[in-house]
Amino acid sequence: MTRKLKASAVCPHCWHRFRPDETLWVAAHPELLGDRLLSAEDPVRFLPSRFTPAGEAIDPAGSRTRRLACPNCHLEVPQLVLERPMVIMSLAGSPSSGKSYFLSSAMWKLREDLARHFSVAFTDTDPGMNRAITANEARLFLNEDQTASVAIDKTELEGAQYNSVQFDPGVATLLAHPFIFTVRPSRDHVNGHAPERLTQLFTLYDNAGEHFFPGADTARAPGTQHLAKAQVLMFVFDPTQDVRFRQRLQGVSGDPQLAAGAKTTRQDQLIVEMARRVRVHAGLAPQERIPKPLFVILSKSDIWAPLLRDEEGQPMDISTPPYARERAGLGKMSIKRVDRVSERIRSLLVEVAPEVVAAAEDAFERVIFIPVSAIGTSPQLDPASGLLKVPVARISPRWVTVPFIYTLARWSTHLVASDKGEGDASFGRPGDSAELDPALT
Amino acid sequence: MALELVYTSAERGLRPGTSGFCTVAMTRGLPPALVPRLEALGGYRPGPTGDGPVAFSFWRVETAAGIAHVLSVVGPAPPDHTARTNKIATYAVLGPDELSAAGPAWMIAQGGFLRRSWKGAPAWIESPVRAPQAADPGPAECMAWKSACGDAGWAGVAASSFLRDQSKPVHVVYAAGTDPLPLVDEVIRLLPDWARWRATFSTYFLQPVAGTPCALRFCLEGTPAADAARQSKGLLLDLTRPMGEAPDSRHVRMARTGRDAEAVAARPAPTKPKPAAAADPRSIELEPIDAPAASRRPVPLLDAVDKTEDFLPAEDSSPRPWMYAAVAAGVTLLVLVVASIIVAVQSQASSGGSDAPPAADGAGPPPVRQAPPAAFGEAAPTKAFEIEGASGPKPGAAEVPPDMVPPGMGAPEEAPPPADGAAQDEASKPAGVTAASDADERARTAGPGAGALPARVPATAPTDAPTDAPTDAPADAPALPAGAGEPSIAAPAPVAVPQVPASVIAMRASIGAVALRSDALAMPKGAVGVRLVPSASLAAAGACTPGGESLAFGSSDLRAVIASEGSSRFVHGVAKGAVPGALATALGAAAPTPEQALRAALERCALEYVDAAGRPVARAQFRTPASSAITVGTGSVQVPSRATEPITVAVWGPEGEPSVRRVAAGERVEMASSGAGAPVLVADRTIAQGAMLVSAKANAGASAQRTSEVSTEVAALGGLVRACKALQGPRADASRTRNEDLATVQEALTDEERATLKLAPKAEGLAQTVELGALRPLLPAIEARAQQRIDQLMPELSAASAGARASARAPASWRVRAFDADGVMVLDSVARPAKGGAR
Ligand SMILES: Nc1nc2c(ncn2[C@@H]2O[C@H](COP(=O)(O)OP(=O)(O)OP(=O)(O)O)[C@@H](O)[C@H]2O)c(=O)[nH]1
Ligand SMILES: [Mg+2]
Ligand SMILES: [Zn+2]
Repeated sequence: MTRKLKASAVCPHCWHRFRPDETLWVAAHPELLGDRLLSAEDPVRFLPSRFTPAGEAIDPAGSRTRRLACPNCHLEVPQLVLERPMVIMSLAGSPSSGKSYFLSSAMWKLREDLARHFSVAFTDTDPGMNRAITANEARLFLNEDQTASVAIDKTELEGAQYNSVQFDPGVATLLAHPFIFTVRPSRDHVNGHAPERLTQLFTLYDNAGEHFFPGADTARAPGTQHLAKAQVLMFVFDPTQDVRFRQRLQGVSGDPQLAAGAKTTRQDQLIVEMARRVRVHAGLAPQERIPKPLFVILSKSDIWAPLLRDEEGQPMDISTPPYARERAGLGKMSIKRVDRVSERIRSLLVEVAPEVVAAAEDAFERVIFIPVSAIGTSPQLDPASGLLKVPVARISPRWVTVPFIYTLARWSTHLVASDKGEGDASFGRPGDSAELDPALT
Repeated sequence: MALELVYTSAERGLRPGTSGFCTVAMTRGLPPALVPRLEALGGYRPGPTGDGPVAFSFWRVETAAGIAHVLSVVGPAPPDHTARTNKIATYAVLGPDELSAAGPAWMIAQGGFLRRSWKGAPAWIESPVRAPQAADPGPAECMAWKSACGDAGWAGVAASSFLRDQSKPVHVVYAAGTDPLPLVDEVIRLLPDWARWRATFSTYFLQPVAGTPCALRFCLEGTPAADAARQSKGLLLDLTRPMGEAPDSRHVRMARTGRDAEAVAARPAPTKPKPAAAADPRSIELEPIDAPAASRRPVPLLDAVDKTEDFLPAEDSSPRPWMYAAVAAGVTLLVLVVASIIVAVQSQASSGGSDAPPAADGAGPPPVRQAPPAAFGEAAPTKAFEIEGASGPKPGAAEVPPDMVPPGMGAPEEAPPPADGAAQDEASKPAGVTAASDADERARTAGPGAGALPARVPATAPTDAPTDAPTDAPADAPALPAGAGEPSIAAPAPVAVPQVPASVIAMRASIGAVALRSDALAMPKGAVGVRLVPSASLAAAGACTPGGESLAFGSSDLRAVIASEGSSRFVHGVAKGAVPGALATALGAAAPTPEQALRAALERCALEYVDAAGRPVARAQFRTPASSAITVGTGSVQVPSRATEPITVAVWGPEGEPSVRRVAAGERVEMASSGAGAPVLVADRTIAQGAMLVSAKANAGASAQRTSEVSTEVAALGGLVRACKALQGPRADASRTRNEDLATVQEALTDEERATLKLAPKAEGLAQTVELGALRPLLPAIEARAQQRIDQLMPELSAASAGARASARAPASWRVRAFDADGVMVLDSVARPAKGGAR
């Protein structure tokens, strides 16, 4: 099978753009250890001059290999990254805003809902690379003991969630593990006859919230430079870390995160900082609007949902999914419903925390507000350990998939139908889809 | 005095604005550049049972100012202010006068030295702490090892493995309940005092951090690190499985008895060892970066140097056949002589296996190192490492036997006693212990016959290459058969002579070493010898090949020699001194280094395998020809070429005789291969200055490719017609295939039709769907259009398939080669039809 390569690809580890012919290969011969940029145990990366008829490269010691690596950081890159468009989605937010829970929950639900409603397969591009996230998914959703309570660990700024690369001899630069997912129409999809052409990749990172504080963007931990490369940006806004929301929620929810004395954060400043980094690393002028969509994800909606009202003052449904199967092999997303909810959340924010809306809309050309709840219930304080844990039996995510499926429906092609109407001329035009991956065109 | 840093998740950090994981306390004066370096070492993850062990570690952190000796403790901490998991990491950066002779593990075990918690607000620590000190306790009986695995001797195995090569980690897997710190301490006590502060370790190793080595890695059973340890190539001591007895050696005896008998014998009056750092007269904070620091990037393929050192006669650096034998034995062949070029062409006779070189023979005595070379870079090199005209870093810095490196930057005369028995340890490895990948281990498994070149790829020999079993070539045939006479200088390459693939396997420009090797599996049939043939341009530049056995350029110091050992042939080059002007001119290089010049010259040579009559039966070359396949009808392959000289192109049809054409500079030549269905090859030198573009186009008329294209299109059109019919049928709405039919028709809509349906142009590729009602009026026109195209295609299809049948016996691909004016093959490719037809 001949496979078409893109003219260039972006490394999901270091975001270096490279041509396929620059790609390095990972030596397979057991003697070839000790890569220049990696550790003494990592196989050497090399530029092959010989290949087998099957397309494997022959390493300097004569072994065959299929594994590819980035020419800049030498970390391993799945073959599909060279072949299919890759959409980088960056997730930012303060510590404890719920990023890790949201990511695990969303990935699990995407596997489920894209298959069930859309006939689209959402799979790990390289299961080894996604192990951390699948372990968290399993913790939340595949626990055999339904009486158990579980927790996802706080994200570290070093250690197992990072690859270390010595760009400077002896000095480790920590690059966050990318999580890469393949989005592909399944056989019963209306476009299932051309799965290769419609396949694309979603790449996500689970940063520690500390990475987004001003001053944390250092050369040693360029952990958030994906912000500049991302086609879709997401900022997780946690209402329970906002003083004014906390006041309004007294008596509304008994969530332990609302208990007195918890730390609050100026989250609008994190949005400003995030925009600053995008502009700096993407070479935009300080006042230029960033021509990318920003999802402001309001997390933990199980706690604050009662605050959200429609124009008539009625509670809004933000738990049943805004999508369904349209016909055999095709699912449909109600973009209109999501936009309506976004509009109402914006109003709520304007009322309670207007500077957040201002910061977001000042920096980004298009802002969509999405309410999510990763677990749909409140965690409980486990007296034995002192940790907040979630009873697995009560986990029921709400709308966690929406930003992703919205992205597919709005800017992607041939996979997901939508009720996207006319109007909104500045947005959703073909230019947008090209922007999702310049290499696609 | 030691400087501290405490890192954990807290509501507020020391640096304003920080929160979450951050530094909460630090000694004033800790170099800011060290802070991120320390923080990066604190990755933590609880153990398999959820509650984690504490990781005690010793690191050598290399900074611009030198090496920092860092002790650290990382362990779980009570939940943070967000009621989530937390950890606390404490680091102590030791001063140069604090490297107690008792070693890092002893120091870390002293209670109270390293903090295990931090309470209250973030704060600066005003005064450095004093690191505990103790005199050298000397080796002791390794009781912790004895109780952990039954034999104290295993500590000695770990110690000697570390001494043998500090850059190769030692992995120890232990079960929950075992306290690893005493195990580490016992190993370190077995080390000579100068090595103790080189023995980086972690008692709860999780993952490597690039650039910060960890030599003794204790991995908890059940963690991913333990799994990785079991996959690793170095020494693995698995305390969770029965270990048996450690093989006897000096360090093993030391571990069992607590006494170093040899040392006592060798040094009747041992001087009181001083603290390692005391050897360093400078009073800087950090130890300067020394030789092992430079070894952080082990050079691939070079790790056999201490092996080759064993082969090298100290008094002579010129190549000898048995050196090539060592190479043949699978020992990677670089760096025999520094700043030299080694070219090897090897082919294996079926008789292989019996000619293992003595030094590489597993049955032979374990290699014993020559007299210890003094510290690298400082001392005068011994003859074996003589460096002549070398540029770039000194070779072998990565491979200096660690036990020969004195402490600090100690002067050579301080070198510790050599050969401490490390070699013995590995001479008899028991089962159950994964052997370190050290030199004699490699030599044992390597041999010219078996396993020497693992995973060898079957030669993708050209169709005309002999595939028969090899040869009756005498194993030790001379380079030239008797009576073959002087080889003809610069004979143009006979296009049809089979090629033995040869290729660059490694190159290290910085030390000027190049290795080339052939991938031939068998000695070409009938070949009894090999000769080196320079190209015409080299001959004109003064190359001579006395006896066909070597290549020289007048009296210059650029030389290459063929040597033979058994059925293998190698070319070994030495490059030093000035590059003759004529050669530089011929190579078209302005001022090549000797290495570059020799390498380029060798790329213009061929190795000819000759039969008893001196006729070439096969050849090998060191230039890698372009080899991308040429797909008929699409794209082209670029063949780099010198601007003015002609290129000879040959294409093979099924009959076996190639069509051969000369393509002059600026010319474009079309050549048809014989046989039905063969493509027309286009060699075009009119487009690119320094390259010839080779493409292939389908021979006009019938071709299998066209057949499949046409039939694919006809099939698709047929489907469209069926869909239109079905959708116009009376029961269209209830049809089971309705959705598929709709999709088929929608796919075929023109942009005008899409516009009438208010669909976006197809190029935008939006996932829009259309209702049958709206589509219905368009269906007759679409159907008619499709039918018309089918009628158009049918005659072509029948003609094409007739042609395809005729060419069914033609080969599926056509070999294409090109040779430059020197007879060097510059293209070795196949032209083949595009698969599956065009879009
Ligand atoms: N009520 C409620 N609590 C949630 C939800 N999702 C997460 N949480 C809680 O929010 C806290 C933080 O979640 P994490 O996902 O670890 O936060 P994070 O953004 O990854 O934080 P860092 O890793 O420190 O950057 C946890 O204690 C969770 O119990 C939710 O949907 N509802
Ligand atoms: Mg997290
Ligand atoms: Zn990269």
